[in-house]
Amino acid sequence: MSENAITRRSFLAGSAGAVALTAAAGFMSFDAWEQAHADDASGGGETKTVHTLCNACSSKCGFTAYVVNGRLTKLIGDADHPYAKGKICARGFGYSQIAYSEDRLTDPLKKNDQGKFEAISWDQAYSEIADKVKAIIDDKGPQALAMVQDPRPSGKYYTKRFMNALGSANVYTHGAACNLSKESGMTQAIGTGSYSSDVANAKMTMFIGRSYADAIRPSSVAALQKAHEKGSHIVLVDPRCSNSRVFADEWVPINPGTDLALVLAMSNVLVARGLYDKEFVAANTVGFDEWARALAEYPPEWAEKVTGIPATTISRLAVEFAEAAPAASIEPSWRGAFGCSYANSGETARAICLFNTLLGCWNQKGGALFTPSVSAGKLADERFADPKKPEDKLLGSAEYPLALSSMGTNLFAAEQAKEGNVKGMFFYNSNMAAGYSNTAYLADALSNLDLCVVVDVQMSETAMLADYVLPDTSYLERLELPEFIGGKVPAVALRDQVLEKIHPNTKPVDEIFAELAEACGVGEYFRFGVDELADAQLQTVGLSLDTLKQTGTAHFPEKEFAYGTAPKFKTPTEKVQFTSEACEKAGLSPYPVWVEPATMPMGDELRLVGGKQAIHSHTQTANIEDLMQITKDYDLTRVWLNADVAKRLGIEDGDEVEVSNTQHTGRVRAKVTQRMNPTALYMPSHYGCSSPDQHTAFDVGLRQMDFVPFHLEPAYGGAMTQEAVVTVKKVGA
Amino acid sequence: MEDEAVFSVLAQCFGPVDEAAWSQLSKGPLWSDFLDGARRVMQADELGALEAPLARARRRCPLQEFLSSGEVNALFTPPTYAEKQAFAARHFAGGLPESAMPVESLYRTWSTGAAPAPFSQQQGLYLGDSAHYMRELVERFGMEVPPAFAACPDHLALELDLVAVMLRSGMREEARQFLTERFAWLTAYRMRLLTLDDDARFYIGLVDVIVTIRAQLTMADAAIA
Repeated sequence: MSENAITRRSFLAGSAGAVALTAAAGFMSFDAWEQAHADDASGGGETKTVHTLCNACSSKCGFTAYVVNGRLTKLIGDADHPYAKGKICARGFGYSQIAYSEDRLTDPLKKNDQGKFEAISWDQAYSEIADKVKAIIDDKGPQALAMVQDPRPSGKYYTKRFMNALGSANVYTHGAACNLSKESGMTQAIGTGSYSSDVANAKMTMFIGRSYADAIRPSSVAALQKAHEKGSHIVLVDPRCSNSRVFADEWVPINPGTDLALVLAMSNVLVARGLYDKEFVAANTVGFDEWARALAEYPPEWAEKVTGIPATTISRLAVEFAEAAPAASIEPSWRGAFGCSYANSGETARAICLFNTLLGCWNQKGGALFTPSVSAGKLADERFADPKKPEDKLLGSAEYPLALSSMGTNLFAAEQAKEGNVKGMFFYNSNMAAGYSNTAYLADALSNLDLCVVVDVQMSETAMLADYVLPDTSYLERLELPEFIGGKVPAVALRDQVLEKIHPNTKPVDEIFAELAEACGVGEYFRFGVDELADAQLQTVGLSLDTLKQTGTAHFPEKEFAYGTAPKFKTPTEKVQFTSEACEKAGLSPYPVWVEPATMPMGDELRLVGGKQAIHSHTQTANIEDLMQITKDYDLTRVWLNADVAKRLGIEDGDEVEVSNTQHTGRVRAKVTQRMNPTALYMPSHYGCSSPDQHTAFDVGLRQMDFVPFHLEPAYGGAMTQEAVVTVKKVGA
Repeated sequence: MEDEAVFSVLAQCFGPVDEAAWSQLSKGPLWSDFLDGARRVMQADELGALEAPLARARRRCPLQEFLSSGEVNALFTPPTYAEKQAFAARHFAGGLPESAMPVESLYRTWSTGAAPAPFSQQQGLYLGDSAHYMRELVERFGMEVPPAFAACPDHLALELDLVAVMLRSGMREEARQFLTERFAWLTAYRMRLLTLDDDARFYIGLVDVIVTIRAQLTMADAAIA
């Protein structure tokens, strides 16, 4: 090869790259370029705006993205979006930089014999994964495959379709480590997994373990602020005095894991004193008398010993509720105290629904509402026909019969992986290994698989355990399926593509699973584009993809909620069920009774509780530099310790402490405060990243799940993420 | 080997090339020509000047004057194609613990004004000002950034390639200005290569060649000033 041949080999496309430029006129220094673009953002550049949805948490708030000369410059919350109401939160702003992050996965990866990842081609990845999928199906059947995904508009559709096409029913959400117990418990009582508290119009609302000001959804915070300003009685029941305190009248520092006792005792007061809505109960419920008799065992004096809340306070709160009813409710929460936290989480959720029933507040102004929703209708185009329904049921449905089948208990799938019954697992938008339960157990379980495939944008702890990692586009680089949103006026919103694909070798979730399906021999279920499916879905509700792209959000005013309408309870009896046959069949009491937490602190032990901070969403946002900088500026990795307990242990504010239990030991600084129940230690649930590739998050703070044993809530299958006790001592003491 | 060819070879060391091309380049006499050319460019006050043979002969400082012995040894034994591919698969792919993407944006403030995003003052992000500058510059020259480099028009391979194109086109001053403006980030990139578990001396040696050329030009500029 001649020297000339070398110089002709240029990466720059175009004839000039290979030969020579004809003139120097095109050159521009960097300084000159900067000056030329100095006013781009103020109108000098080519600007486009796109309506899309945030991905920093599950709320998926709508915003308008401003893109100048191809670059993201500004995010403005969409006023029409029911959750954003014109605003997005700090996480929403911060998380947008994920699109440009140096820690983005750029190529398909395969773990080599030395356990290190190497870039491979998509063809190789698909081919090898498909071979392993076929081998697993040939050997053990499709039920030896499982999928875990944290639902996103396209992800939840494509992952389920992919698994069902393969013949597997094992599609799990993250729910077992989020709100599975709460949704499942509520379903037993009222026939649906949740409801909406009409906070803004309420005379009284009680929040149990949920903090709108820490897990921010802008519309929820606005409603809470409005309620506070109107004089609504806002009560926070939480071992930790959260940031929502600024909007609340009262903090009830309950012993963690005892919320059920509080609700039972408040119910006892209402029933014993005849302060409940007898007419509503008589017309709309079954099993009341049996529960009422059982409630006699739970007077406030009993609950005081369990919860640490004075009996007089419990009685007063119950009476205040009765006085405020029906414009009052216990807010349904999400993950908080009973989404998946304790051995009694499902039963707590059930009891809360029954307490609200005593208030007669369903569908009443200021009460608890079943707001309408809209969904896509049946699609005529045969290309969208569902794959044949798998013959078997979701793994775990027999062992945890109360777990909603729409979520399933993913931890059971992990347990089956450890035992060798599940051989292949896929993960989409899920960091199970770091955030769902005991990290050591989950690492063992996933390492035992024949095939572990992770689809993500960065190297999560789960991805580190995978055989193959497939690089997703960021949420700003893809169109997704429409997101239907329930509410007083139901709506639909769209995540549209804001930026051109940044890394050319990444792919959006729809393409990944469609192409993987093709490689696995079930591609016939994926012969359409996401835009075609989105448009088809929208056509069924009188819209089109083009029209929704113009507005970002569309409402269905003809479906608007009306106060006072008779609620429809989708239970087997079509009434509120004070007693549940399914619960009884699952080995629980037919009506909610007191259930002890599985683990109780002894001696100097403290119960370890987690919870969100306003700037992070679990482990997902910890690698965002701007958000982590806030963590560092305010020393937010600290564990919270009650001041009296700290004094007894010789710990002062800011001291480095050692947190320890049988599962793990780690060091972090302590925040000593009276804003903490004395039986508990609060550890924020965002830190302790062990993936060295996440340069910002790696090795900052402690990880709650390192301390939590692997276990599942009986009947409901939740992760029992707060069934852990620890000791704490000053380092060097 | 002429200066533009030296920069073309440097570009091909950091970019994706096929097996045949790499074999021809790294196994034949072209490689020693490249090393000789690199040694000469490191000692030149200006780029692309057509020097008299006598002037060239005077510039005979060996590579050891500029590089460590380990780097010199690595440059004299370039990787095989398989080794080059394996290094790229582990280090020139993003999102890995051992990623060392040779992309300028990752080592500079994302934007100093052209794009006031919420994160504009961050470092370690793709498609910063340097990337957009590179794309625009390439397009002003009537060329295109190849699709494979869409996330990183300021990839080291493209920046080196552009120097070669400018030299080949007689744009010596422009190439000189570009080289002194653009390659300051390589000091930080060199530090990243030093942290890798794998032997990166070949690439560190190449980076040191570029850094030395830039330093020589910067000193010459300072002397003129």
